[in-house]
Amino acid sequence: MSQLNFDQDERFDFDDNFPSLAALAKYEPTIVERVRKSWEDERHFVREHLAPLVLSEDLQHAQNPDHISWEMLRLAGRHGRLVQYIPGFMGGKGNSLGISMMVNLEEQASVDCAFCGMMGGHGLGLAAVFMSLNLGVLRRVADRIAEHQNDEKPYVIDCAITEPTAGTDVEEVELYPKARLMCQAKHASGGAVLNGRKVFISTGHMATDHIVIMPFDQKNAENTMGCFLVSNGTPGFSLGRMERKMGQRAGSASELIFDNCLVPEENILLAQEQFPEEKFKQQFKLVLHGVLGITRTAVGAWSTGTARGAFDRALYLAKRIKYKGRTLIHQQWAQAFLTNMHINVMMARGAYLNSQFVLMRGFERIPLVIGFPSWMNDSAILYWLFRQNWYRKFLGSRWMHGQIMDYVRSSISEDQDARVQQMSSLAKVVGSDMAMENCQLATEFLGQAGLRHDQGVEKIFRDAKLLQIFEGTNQLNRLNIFTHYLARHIPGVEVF
Amino acid sequence: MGTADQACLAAFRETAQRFAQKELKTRALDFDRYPYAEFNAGVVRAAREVGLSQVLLPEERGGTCQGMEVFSEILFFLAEADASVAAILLINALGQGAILKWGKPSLQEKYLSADLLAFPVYDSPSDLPKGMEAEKKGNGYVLKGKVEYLALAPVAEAAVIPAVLKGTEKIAFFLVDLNNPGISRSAPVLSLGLRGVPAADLETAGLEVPADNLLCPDAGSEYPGLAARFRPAAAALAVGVAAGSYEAAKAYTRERYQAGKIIIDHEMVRLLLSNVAVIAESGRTIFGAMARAVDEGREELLGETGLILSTELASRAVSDGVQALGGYGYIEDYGQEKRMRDAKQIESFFGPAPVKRLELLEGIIRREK
Repeated sequence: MSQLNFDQDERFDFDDNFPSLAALAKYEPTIVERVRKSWEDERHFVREHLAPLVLSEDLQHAQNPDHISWEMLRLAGRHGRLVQYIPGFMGGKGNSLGISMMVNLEEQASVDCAFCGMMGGHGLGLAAVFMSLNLGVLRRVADRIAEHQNDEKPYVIDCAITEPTAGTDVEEVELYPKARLMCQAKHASGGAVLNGRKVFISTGHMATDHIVIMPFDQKNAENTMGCFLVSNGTPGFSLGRMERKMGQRAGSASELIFDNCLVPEENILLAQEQFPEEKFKQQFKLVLHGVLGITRTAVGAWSTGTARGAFDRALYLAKRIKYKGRTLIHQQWAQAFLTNMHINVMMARGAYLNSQFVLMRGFERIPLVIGFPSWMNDSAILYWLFRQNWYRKFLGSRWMHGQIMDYVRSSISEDQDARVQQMSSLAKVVGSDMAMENCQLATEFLGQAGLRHDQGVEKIFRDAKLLQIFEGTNQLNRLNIFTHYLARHIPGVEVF
Repeated sequence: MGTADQACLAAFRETAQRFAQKELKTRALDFDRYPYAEFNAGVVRAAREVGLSQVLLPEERGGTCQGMEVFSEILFFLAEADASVAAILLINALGQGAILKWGKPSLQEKYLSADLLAFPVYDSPSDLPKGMEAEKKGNGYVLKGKVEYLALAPVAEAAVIPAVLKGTEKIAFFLVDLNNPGISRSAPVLSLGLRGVPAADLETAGLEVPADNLLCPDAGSEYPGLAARFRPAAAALAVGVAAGSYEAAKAYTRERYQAGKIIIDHEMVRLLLSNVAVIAESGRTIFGAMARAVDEGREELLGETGLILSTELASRAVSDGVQALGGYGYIEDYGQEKRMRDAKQIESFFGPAPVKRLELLEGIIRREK
């Protein structure tokens, strides 16, 4: 069985990869040191533990389209990857979704873009739970992840937004009125009843619980949005087909079917109608923008890693392949190709780091985005409190929920939101375009070696294409940059 | 072999279209599961029965003695439905071309009627690999070494392979019978695209072949001429894939809605479709002109440039063909992701893309000296 090999490339260390971050060390050494340590840990994990699985897992998917990558998920669970972004007092590792997550994602993707996809489904679910600000559900989900991370089938969640006839339209609040939605929730005694179908849901066939987003009124979706937790085995809920994707097969793309599925009250993370006050009108938009700001930046980092993965493989092979008797690495044209690929990586990296800094400025009062303060990770009192029933109840109350929503809302100005929207879309577009471009270049200049599965390049080519499509197509993200950023300074301009 | 007359061209075009519609359109995805599903030997046989695969052979060898224009046109229509089957015909025809050009009559007699011939289509004609060595022994040769990524090797009866003639710098073409136990084939290699075209590595520790099986003692200088003749066919393959992608993208974007509008009514989507349309529409004229030049024996730079232009543009455009369908482009159902993989694979026919560019300039400079 072929597997990914690496040359000893200690020259490409943290400072080589992130020269601009290193500049920060003069002003705030603790952040940089923390990021560096976490990055080195991640690099060790992906090269030593993940790399041996990458090609064999992908081959199993080619052999059997119904294969599910449990082995890879177990690996993630065993190495604490499923609780990474949960604060310490909730039982997690306390790496918030800050710079560390971004640079670690890049590192992961440089070895396996598809592994990121698997983790991404779970991460998106977590992001939705965090941003719904429902601490009661967050507490339960966090407990289960920690409790089952070493299981045969570890506990993960997903996030269901896309519908069969509405992909791009449910990625933008402004597009909701025009979307052809098929899912709708209905209030019922004891909770809510869900109906409809969701498709392309990442990690769907691996998840135990599903975070589902659908409106109570399709015709007024943007003001009646609901966010629900649906567990496997709930009557009226079933898993449909698993899509046969070109790549990124480690994370399944699943269909979720809701047929009069009753969700109990305690599993409703957010029902916008519970907060009818005028000030909460824009809450859903805020939540979605917040999630997208983070996830699009993350896709930028993930894409950068994919672009680098293609570059890394190309460099590795260029030292071994000959053209007219001379090794490629010694030929000017090959060096030109490799340099172009390297430039693409650096551009993509610049875009996501820039976006991360804008997030840290825009959401500076939200610990999830900028880094959990140490008391959230180390406080024994908080850890104890979190496990008291009365405190859990208090956290999960509507009043508490409203307080937190208020806090978050007042923490983000419209200008900052616009900047976050722009930069995160930009990171996503630049990153994914560079990822695809590097795959094109690698395949072109390597010839046969780029086409054979056992050399690890063709897999990246197949994996990369999805990056331009999900999290809002690159077309939508371009419009997004115009609408949320450029249009603000062009009075009267028509936007789409 | 001169230019094809219009009636003849039209007849082959119709046969190819009908064959693509009947045999390929609905089954292309099944063929693509190889090596985890059966090789589609039946379709290859059917193509032969309707007269699509032997068109370049002379009549006395069971062919219809057509030129590149007819052959390219056939491949275009097949590739529109399934590039793998079209590529199989092309690779097999290259093998036949080599035997026809350099083989003794007895060899022609035996192997031109073979079901399939393997041929190193992914190698650059000016940079054939040196993994195999041939040593003279008695009346024949002994082959030792390895040939990597040989197209059709897992399913072919015989193969045309390059080998360095021991004691010289020259690379020769040998014809080897793949049923010979002295040569071993690796398990089929999983490829990015053209998965219906099986490829494998060949290895031998000492395979004795008769002297007649030495097809061409100096393939390094003679093969580029043969490869040049087949450039229009490779271009037609790429353009055919782009045409398939274009039609599928148009059909899909005419049906689906986004932001309250039919997708094709979004200008950004039209820009994507235009990228595919440019090569799908102009490509037919380009490979047609390339093929006529070959048939009329004219050496034109259009051969080199047309192949670069059509394969590179097609392989980039089909990515937009996927993009136009969004998530549905990325799953197998609409065939778009397969076309994206196939086009990229075709781009490496006759060597890596940038190598073809370097060779173009080398040729130009040599000619202008």
